[in-house]
Amino acid sequence: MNYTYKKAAIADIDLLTKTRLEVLRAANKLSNDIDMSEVEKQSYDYYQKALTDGTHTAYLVFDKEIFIGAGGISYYRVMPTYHNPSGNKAYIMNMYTNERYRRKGIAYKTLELLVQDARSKGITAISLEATEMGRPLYEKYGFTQMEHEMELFGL
Amino acid sequence: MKRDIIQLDEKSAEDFLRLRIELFEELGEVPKDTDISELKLATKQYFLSHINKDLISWGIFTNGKLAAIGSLCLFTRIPYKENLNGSEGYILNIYTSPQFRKRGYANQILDKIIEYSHKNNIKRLWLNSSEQGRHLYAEKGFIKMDNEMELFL
Repeated sequence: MNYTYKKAAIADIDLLTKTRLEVLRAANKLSNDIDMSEVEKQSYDYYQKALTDGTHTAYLVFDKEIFIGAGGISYYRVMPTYHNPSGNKAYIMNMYTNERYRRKGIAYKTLELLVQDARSKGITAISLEATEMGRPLYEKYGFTQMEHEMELFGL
Repeated sequence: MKRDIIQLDEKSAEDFLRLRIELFEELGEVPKDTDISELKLATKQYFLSHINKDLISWGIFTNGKLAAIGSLCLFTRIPYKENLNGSEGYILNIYTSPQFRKRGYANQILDKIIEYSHKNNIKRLWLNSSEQGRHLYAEKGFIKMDNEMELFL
């Protein structure tokens, strides 16, 4: 099957925001009457800034005109270390494939495009938060469990 | 004894660098007999160009010298319902020079970082904990993340 993998440009911002909400609704099993207008606005602002300054790359996947998948990678910088002298890092988010299109390698291909993007920017470490469903894909790709990460959430 | 925590600026670059290198040495991060002049330069340049932009560092001074340090790197991810502006912070470089330990400095600095995050609408803090540090972070409410994965290129 021939699917289109489109790297989102700033002109795609409306589509990107709309599909992000679709992904959030699907991933969190939110019904359509839950108000997402604030997330929508914030996402739009985020994409506008991050696509302009190059701190985010997003891929959207289509079967003809139908949106069927997505993936994004955000870039940020922390303090330099010996093993990562630039301090540049990347984080993958928003990985999604529509239910009807699963088990066709779409997420794998999307992941590959995101990793390529990171490689082209000289990134040496990519992390992500895996769902149970996503874990086998990431393991197959070579991602390993991080053992020492801690978080304080909901401040 | 409680001491004041100072938010660092460009003036503290040398002191910051000294403690950063002490930390690397203690962690065994750099192989012995490695030339670290480039790492020093990169760290100093990073500090000078990021401090009080997307890097906030705090320190505790004794007799005019930096004794303990802690830093917060700020970044943004795609917003989600629990974190509408997407602001997150990565805590790193929490370190106290050996002769100033057991005085609760790291604890004080960590409290400062959490207070700063509250005030600045940073909804999520991350860190990579050493075995030594785990207990302190757990006391503050940090929990281990079970689903983080990483790929080195």
